[in-house]
Amino acid sequence: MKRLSLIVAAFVAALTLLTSSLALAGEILVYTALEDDEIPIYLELFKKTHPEIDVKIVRDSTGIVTAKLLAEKDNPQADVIWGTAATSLMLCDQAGMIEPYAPKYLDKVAPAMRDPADPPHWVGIKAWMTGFVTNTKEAEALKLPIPESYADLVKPVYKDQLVMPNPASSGTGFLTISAILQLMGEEKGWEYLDKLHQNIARYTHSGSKPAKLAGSGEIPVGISFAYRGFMQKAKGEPVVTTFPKEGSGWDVEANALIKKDAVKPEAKIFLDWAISPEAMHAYGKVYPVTAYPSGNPVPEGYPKDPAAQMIKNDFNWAAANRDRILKEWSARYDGKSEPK
Amino acid sequence: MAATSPRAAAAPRLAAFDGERWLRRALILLVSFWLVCVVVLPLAQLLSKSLLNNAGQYVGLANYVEYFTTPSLRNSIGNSLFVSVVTTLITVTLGFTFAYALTRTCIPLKGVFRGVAMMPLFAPTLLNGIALIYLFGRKGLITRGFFGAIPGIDIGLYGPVGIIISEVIFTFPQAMLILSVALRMTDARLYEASDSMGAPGWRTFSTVTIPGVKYGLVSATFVSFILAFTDFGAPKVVGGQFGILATDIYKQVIGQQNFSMGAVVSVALLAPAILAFIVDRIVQRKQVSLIQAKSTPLVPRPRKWRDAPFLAFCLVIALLILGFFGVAAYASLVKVWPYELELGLWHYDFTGTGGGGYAAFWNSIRMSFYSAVIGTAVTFVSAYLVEKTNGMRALRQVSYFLSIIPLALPGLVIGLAYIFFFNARGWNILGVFTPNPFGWLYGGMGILVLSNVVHFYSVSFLTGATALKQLDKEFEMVSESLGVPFYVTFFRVTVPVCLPAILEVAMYFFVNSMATVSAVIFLYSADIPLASVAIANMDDAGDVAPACAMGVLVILTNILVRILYGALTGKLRKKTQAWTTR
Amino acid sequence: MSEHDDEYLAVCNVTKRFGAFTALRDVSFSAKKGEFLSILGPSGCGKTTMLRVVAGLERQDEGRVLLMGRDVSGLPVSKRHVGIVFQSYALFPNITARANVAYGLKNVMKSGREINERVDELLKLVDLSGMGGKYPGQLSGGQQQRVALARAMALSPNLLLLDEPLSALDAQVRVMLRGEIVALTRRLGLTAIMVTHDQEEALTMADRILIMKDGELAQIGAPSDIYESPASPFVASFIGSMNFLSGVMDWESRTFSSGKLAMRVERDVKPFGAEAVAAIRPEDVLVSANGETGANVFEARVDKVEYRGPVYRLSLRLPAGGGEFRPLLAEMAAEKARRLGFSPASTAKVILPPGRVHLFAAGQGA
Repeated sequence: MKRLSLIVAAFVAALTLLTSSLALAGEILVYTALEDDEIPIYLELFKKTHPEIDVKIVRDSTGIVTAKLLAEKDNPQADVIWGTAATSLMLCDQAGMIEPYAPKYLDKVAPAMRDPADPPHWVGIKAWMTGFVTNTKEAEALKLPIPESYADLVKPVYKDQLVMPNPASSGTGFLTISAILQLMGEEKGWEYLDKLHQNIARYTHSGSKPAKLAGSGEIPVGISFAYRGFMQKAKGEPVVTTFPKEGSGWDVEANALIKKDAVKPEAKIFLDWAISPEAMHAYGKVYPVTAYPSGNPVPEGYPKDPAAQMIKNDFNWAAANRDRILKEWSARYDGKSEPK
Repeated sequence: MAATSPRAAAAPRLAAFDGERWLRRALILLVSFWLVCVVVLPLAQLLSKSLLNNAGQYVGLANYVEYFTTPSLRNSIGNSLFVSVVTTLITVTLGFTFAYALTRTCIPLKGVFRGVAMMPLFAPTLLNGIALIYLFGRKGLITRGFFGAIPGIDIGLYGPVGIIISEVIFTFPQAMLILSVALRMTDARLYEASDSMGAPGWRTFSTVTIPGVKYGLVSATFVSFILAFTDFGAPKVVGGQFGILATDIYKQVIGQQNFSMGAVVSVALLAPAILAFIVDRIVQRKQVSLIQAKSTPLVPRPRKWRDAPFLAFCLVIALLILGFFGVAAYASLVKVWPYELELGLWHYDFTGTGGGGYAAFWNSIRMSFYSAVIGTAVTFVSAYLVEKTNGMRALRQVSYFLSIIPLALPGLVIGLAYIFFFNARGWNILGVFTPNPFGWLYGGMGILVLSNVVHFYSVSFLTGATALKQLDKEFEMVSESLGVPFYVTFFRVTVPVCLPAILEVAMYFFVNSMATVSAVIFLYSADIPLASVAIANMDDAGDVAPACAMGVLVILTNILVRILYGALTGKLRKKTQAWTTR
Repeated sequence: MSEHDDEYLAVCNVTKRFGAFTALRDVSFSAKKGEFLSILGPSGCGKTTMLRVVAGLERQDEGRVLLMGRDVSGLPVSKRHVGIVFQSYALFPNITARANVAYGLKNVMKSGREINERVDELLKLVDLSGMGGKYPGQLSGGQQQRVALARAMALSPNLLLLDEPLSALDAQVRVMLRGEIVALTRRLGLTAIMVTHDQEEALTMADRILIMKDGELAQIGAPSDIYESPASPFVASFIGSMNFLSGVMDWESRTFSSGKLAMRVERDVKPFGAEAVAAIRPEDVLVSANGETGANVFEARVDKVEYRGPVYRLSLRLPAGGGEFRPLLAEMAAEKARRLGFSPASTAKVILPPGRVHLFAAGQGA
């Protein structure tokens, strides 16, 4: 009997050890959809000013972070959401998961980059926008021109040479079709998408994948977001990033505080820092549009006036019609490749 | 002599308190209780979610109606059935031929063939898809004719073709193993009888061979079907726009945060799997009564005209499998496929890609290790209690039944059910709010290990039960009559004697926990990234080469563990031989 | 002599059911101290269940089990202090013969020296001194069963229970071990119960035999009593072989008739109805060439002559009038048969000694 109780005790102890990943005081859990290669740079800055706070990062693509947040609705794990699509944060807000909070430096933030409520439910840090990433080697081999506009994309020469993200799962995908519908009006917009669909080889799950596929030559032209294209070019891939003449769809990457029984003071400190001039300066090194001017020149490759490239985006319209748009989109294009 | 004879003694004394019997009873109750908690309740929660809308209101069958009226969703049922049926047909045919060659012919290199054929068991199915991209994708080796050396062919990988090829590779070893066992169990005397009656070869084949492995064939068919039907990894990579149920669940939940619809698709995925499972169980039960104790093993004799084609067949299959994983390994080393074919370890440096890199890899090893230790302990102890307890038949049968249910549960369904169940704050039971006593498990290593333990529960349980059945059923009674508590005998006799089976189960848990993606992709918390999830995420993000590299790391780890297992059992066999050699 | 020696073990009105199936129905018997009991019966008769109830491996639904006057009905096997030997030996394969024998000793003996001495003693008792270091797999079947026996006796049990201990062994080893087991229990004064389906085993080993049928006790008695005075046609046919003749009994004249065949019966039987079954063992049937007269002498036809080594068995037909015949088996020593020289289709004089004819009430079944 003694032996048995020892075994049971050991088992229980092991289980407790395995699962004691609960966040401790002085430690916050941050969910983010920022790119893997950006996060370490920013975090280092935070560490310098707040060495006493231990930041645990959970990083994933927008869709997955959002799904995780919603799945944990009844029992939230994260303390803070950092750099995740504003439209996703609106979904979390609808689910009642967000604690309104007005961080320090809020007064600096441009009105378009924050939730108008006071205190705001979310506060943006920067914007990201649609870009076309083209593999120059493949384009040359296939005699494809580099696309410069939405109108270019529906030309027959691109048949099966385009790849774009599925708007149902990808933030980039959604902001792109939302922009098209807003630019052209719904009726014309859907007509355009019907034509575009003829040229699309594949819809991907994530927004960065079309750029990567273009980079590897698997599919020569990817509708993705600009940042990816520039990063890949920097790595030596034969790609060029262009922006649609008609204007790019865009979304704000924003922060929010998670509603919990006990909100940690460290979470608020983090949110304050995340829109501080110092952080903004770091964001501005790779992104042209930040919540307020970062003091950096526009990064290379972007249009001279990036704000002008961005369409006049009606977020409320996008959020309110998201379900309807996605349903329509799925009905039109999801059932495309049935067998036979 | 006393005045009262013993017969006249007063009414029987109250049963003396028998601590051991109570302990056993408590333990077996605990086994049933545990299975209810980790299998039945989460499934019930999943089913109930499919009847609620995303705001948590009861909507009856509205979600199902929506499901069946949405063409893109409804079509997936047909698509899933189509790819799994085609996969099953191909796999069972190939598996049968291969198994036949290994058991009924005299070809050389049988051990090598078997080893190579087992390789896909060690690989995450995501890697199958990725390897196919490097072979048949637009820039694939074969599509491009070995970088332009020969004319290439485009097989139109993305869609059913890619899924079917991956699933055949995935299910082939499983079908082959089941059929090898079936072919080996056939009674040689039947062949002698058939030969003595002068039956021609094809006649013997159709009247003796096929009926003899009938149950093996049925089993292999259902196993292949269920595996192909529920696999998520390969379709995720090469499925393209071809919707199937497994990827639909992922899309609904991860892509669209539509948990109710995810639950509905889970039910659609679960139903045929459960059906196949039930049919398989019924067939298995019939088979038990048919095995004869005194069968003579069949020893094949060499026949050139027969062995040569079989050898050729096995060579082709083995080379295909080796080539398949070889290309994956090669691609993971190429700098920029297909532009710069310089070899190096660039993609094995995971910094700057998503998924978690080496942290994920080590986490996976840690998780697999815990799953192996805990899973083996739990399944073996449960099997012991179910097999070796006297009485409490009803409870034991319930435990047995609950123990084999996970066999029919797709990993995605387990994952989704676990989100619903373990992350619920509590339940209103008869109007009283009861907090969730298991909530602490969520979001850590605990839930990952738990999902693996349950995902791979049934096969481990059955392996343990089979090993235990071979032990003398009287060991427990002997030890009881000698006044030795059952748990002492368990540790002194049962465990040592069953050690080979226990190690096999541990290896099975480890290898599968390393490779699986379906259950854990819903459950991993991003501060505990995992290798298999990293493969999926890196592939999602378009970082195919690092994803491939991670897949290669997983398969290498698993092969290493398999070799370790081989060495351990070899040592053990030497030791057990001491018990048996005269 | 202690007060419980006559009823060392008492089983009182035990009933055991498995679901709808009644395995034991109201079984009672007792054993004296040092007695060797054998439970015999066809498969499915409940004999193993009986043993398991006595052992405490099964709990009876009704009735009691008393050991040395103490009601042990509620005690598990571990508290009854019984030694059990199984048909399969059930030796632990991963530990040596010594360790098997010592298995239960570690709980009751503290010092290793004490245990060692006891194990040596036990191994010597079963004639396996020097074999203790071997693993069960390295021993022959007979040796393994002796290890199992030593293990069962290690704790000096109150009762030794043997469940078909010899069934798995070769014929020769079996015969040898029979004697050894009995001698051992006698020497140690052990009370033993052995379950078997082998009547020869029961007859040669047991002090008393319990015959069971369909969960009930059919008869209990010394081997000779059971053989000589079977209580029912079932017992009569289960032990040895028996000829049966159904007919009518006239209790006044003590004459039994089957058709025209009439015979005298000299048996102290409790009168029952007129419908009866007469029975006689083949070896009690006397056969001669001819010339015999007197009570119960009949003329019979020889159908078949069967050679069985030391004896011959004749299949005979007794005329019962009206062209009817009654089959009858007879056995005689080979020497006598050779002398008389029967052949099929010949006739013979058959004597059914009135003292050797058993009578059973009709409808008892065989």
